[in-house]
Amino acid sequence: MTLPKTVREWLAEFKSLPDNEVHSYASTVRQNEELTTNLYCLFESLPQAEVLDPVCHQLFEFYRSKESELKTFSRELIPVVIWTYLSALSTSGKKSVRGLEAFLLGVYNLETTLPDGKPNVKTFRIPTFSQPSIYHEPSSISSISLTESALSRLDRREAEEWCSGPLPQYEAITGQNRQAILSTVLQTFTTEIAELTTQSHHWFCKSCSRIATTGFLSLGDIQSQEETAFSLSDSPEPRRRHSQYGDLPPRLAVSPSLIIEMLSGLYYVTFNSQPHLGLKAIYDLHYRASYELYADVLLVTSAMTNSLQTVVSSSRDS
Amino acid sequence: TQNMSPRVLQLLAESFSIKGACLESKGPSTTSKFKVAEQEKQVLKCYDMAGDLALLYIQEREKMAQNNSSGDEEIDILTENAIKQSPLLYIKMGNIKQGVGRFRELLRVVESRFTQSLRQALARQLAEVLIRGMCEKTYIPIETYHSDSNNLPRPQPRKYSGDNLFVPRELHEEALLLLLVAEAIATREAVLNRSVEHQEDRHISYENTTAVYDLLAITLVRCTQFLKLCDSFEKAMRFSFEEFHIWHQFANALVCAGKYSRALHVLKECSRLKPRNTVVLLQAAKLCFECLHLYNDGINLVQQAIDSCSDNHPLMSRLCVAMGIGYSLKAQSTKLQGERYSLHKKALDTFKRAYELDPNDHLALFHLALQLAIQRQISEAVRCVKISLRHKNDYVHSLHLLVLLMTSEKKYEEGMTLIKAALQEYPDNLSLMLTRTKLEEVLLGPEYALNTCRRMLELWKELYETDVDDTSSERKYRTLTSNDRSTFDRRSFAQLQLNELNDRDTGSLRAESVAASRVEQTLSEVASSAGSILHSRRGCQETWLLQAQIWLHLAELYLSLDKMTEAEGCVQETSSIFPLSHHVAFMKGRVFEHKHKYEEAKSCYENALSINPAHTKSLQHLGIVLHEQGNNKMAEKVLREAVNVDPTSHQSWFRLGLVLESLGQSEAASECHMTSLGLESTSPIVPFSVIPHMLQ
Repeated sequence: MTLPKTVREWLAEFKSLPDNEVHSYASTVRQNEELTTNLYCLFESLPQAEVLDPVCHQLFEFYRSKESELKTFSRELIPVVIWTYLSALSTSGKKSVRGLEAFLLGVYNLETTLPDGKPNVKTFRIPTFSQPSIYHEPSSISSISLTESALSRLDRREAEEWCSGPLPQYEAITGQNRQAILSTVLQTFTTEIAELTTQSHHWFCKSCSRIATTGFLSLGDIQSQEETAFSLSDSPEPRRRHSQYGDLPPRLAVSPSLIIEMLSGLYYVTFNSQPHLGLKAIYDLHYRASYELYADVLLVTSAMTNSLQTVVSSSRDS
Repeated sequence: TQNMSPRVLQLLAESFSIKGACLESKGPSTTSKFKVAEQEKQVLKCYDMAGDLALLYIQEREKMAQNNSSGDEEIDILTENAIKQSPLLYIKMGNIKQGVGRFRELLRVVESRFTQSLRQALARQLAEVLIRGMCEKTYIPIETYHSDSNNLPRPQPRKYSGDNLFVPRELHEEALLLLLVAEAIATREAVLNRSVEHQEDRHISYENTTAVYDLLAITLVRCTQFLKLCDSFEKAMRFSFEEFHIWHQFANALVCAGKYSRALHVLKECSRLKPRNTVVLLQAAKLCFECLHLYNDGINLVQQAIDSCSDNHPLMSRLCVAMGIGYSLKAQSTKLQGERYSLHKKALDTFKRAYELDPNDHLALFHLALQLAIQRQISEAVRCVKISLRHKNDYVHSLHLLVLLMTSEKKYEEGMTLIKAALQEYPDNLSLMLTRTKLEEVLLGPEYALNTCRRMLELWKELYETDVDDTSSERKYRTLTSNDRSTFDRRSFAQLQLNELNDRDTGSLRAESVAASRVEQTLSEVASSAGSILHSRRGCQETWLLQAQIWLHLAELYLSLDKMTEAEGCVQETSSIFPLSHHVAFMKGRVFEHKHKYEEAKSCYENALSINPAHTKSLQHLGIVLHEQGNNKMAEKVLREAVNVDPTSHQSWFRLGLVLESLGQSEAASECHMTSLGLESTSPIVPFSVIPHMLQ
């Protein structure tokens, strides 16, 4: 398989671009929908490593460029790259994914440090009820009944600091650090999700669904076999891929931390740009988490599906 | 306008809200875009005015009501609607910034007793806007002092003020604060009356509260605040009678927070509410097998699930895997030979069935292979584990099992190559590393293994010292709350490793061993904290226990090198971490035995056995020591017990043979030696039981 023409041109054009034109190039490249569509489709078709390697290389060049638009261009492709990577890894092993791995590892290592060279540490405070805030006064809402939890609320405490990082730098992706790296990389996508294109949201949902369901025949039946609790008119159709046992591709390994990262993006996407695909992906991940018995993921998916049901039923009333 | 009477304020507020509502329902008179926007602006102006006046009115009334209490201080429905609608209208018009700003303005008004449900709704809605409509990049920060300048042409209700107010600086802080406020009101205002006339109210209040809890779960899981989440759900239980969703969420939160026995109870309640829910039953069984060691309970739970499922249920195969795990674990903890045999057979059959139901599941194949290995059907086990690796090529337990299978075929070189490759993928896996040191001991000599062991200690330092630093500072809550996902994952990984290492040289998963390690852990914690309150150990206990395991292994290596002082030093290190462990007692015995101080050795082994009567190695060595002392009758008894505890250990049989020989029972002795030889030919370098029976 060879590269589509637009992608080849894209590769050649950027290489021969003089430095003073990079800025104007950057401001237009994200609008080139033919190119982005071709790139998404390219990754989706799981091509040979030698076809993909130059593309991955250029995407990394974009990602580490000073032009924020170029960086965003690469960032929008991250979910589909992750899907392609996991999929290729499971079918043909480590040798076939070198280019993809280099891109993902590069992005990860860039994320471990801030532009000024300091380690990237994220912190925020976790508010406590006992500290008065601009929105409340502890004494006024405190409970009437004298219970332990009511008392503990008045136990005066400062807000605690939540902190993540600094993240270790890695030289290679191994079985041990793979999922942690992937969730950090995906985080760069989800923390800016509101500024990314609808097209990238679309492929994000598709990638999540695929990561969850590849290799399974009918995970959705987990729910439908229980007593039918609630059925959404627009809930996803029970999927059935009509293939024989044994023909299925291997299942993709996916850790709770990666799924939780996906879900935080999907929740936004479901409300803002892709209601159907987003909802379907959330359900797919819910079924997968039920299969794997991931308690933390189930907390999130149950909360999301439950809150989405209320949204749907209340919007129907009005 | 400053001194309007409350009555006037109320009337004005109502008129503004009516005007706004009329304008809104009339709709635009023209299709001109400009006109439409103009009119929307007017509606909003009315609503904003109505809101401010109404809130001010309530505040004034409350001030007066302190002297004479008259009921009825409520905001009328139209005005309440006006207040709720205005921020949403802004957002609908596409002006998110103003909508969020209006939300914040309304929420900053000092609340009164009569506006709580309004407040709850507003807090929840703003949280929804933040969580569903924004990301960290697009978050709009709070402008604190902007609205304090009273330039607005209308009277303003009082707002919260003070020096030490918590002001959110980013998305998570604000969302969590809002949810905290909403949760506090919701749990307080929840309708608890279960009579029929309150059913509607109760339903609405439940829906509102659940919405808050859902958002709370979504936000808190992201920052791994599972203990906080448990506390919140605990409060929710009061009004969640017979509500499956909240109960199940509570159970999940408990599992994540590591409160397993409570989680099991809650899961059982969930299962009562929805008896056909397979996931709940499987979760409960998993807890029984992996955390609580309640094998019979687990088996019953899985059976219940299997009975209610058809064969094409997607979880059927996993149910069979769980069942097999249950049988296999129970078999290892059973004392009666016949019962053990039939349980092993049942386990094997169940794993085979799991594989038939879902031939693509690597876990079913892996467990089938493990069970075959335990029953010493080596070549068949190799075949299965290889297929399992085809379905998941980097599953660490499959790799480990394959290494052990190679060693039981005495292909040490190949095993070494594979374990090196496996360690390249999982460099922090201490269990793999321990197996590697055993292989090195055989292939290259103990000196070489010593190096690997030292590296393990370094690795421990690297992995867990950050953990220790993190918690050393004297902040009580910090240890529990402020860990991000990677710390959380690392801690669960340490827990996993510890489970693997703890069972490592026991050779069996007997209830005794399990109980022993639990007692030891508690006693050691008490002992080490009582002994030195000032220097009480920092960091979480699991990581220290891991270190103790490495020391013990190192001690064993030094013994085989005849380096007594070093070995004693290692034992000393261990006992300072973990003073009341049978492992320590056993190793002390080994040192004495090596010095031919049999009497002391004997009492050490007896100590170990009094803590854990199923510790095979102590039994074996006690037998040998008794044999050396000439007490062959007693030695026979002890070694028979060893053989009974773990009939697959060829060392036990061999020693029993020796003892029987000295007793003159040559026929029985040669039988023992035969058994020993037969077992030895399929024996792996470390027992197959080091590989855990896990459902993931």
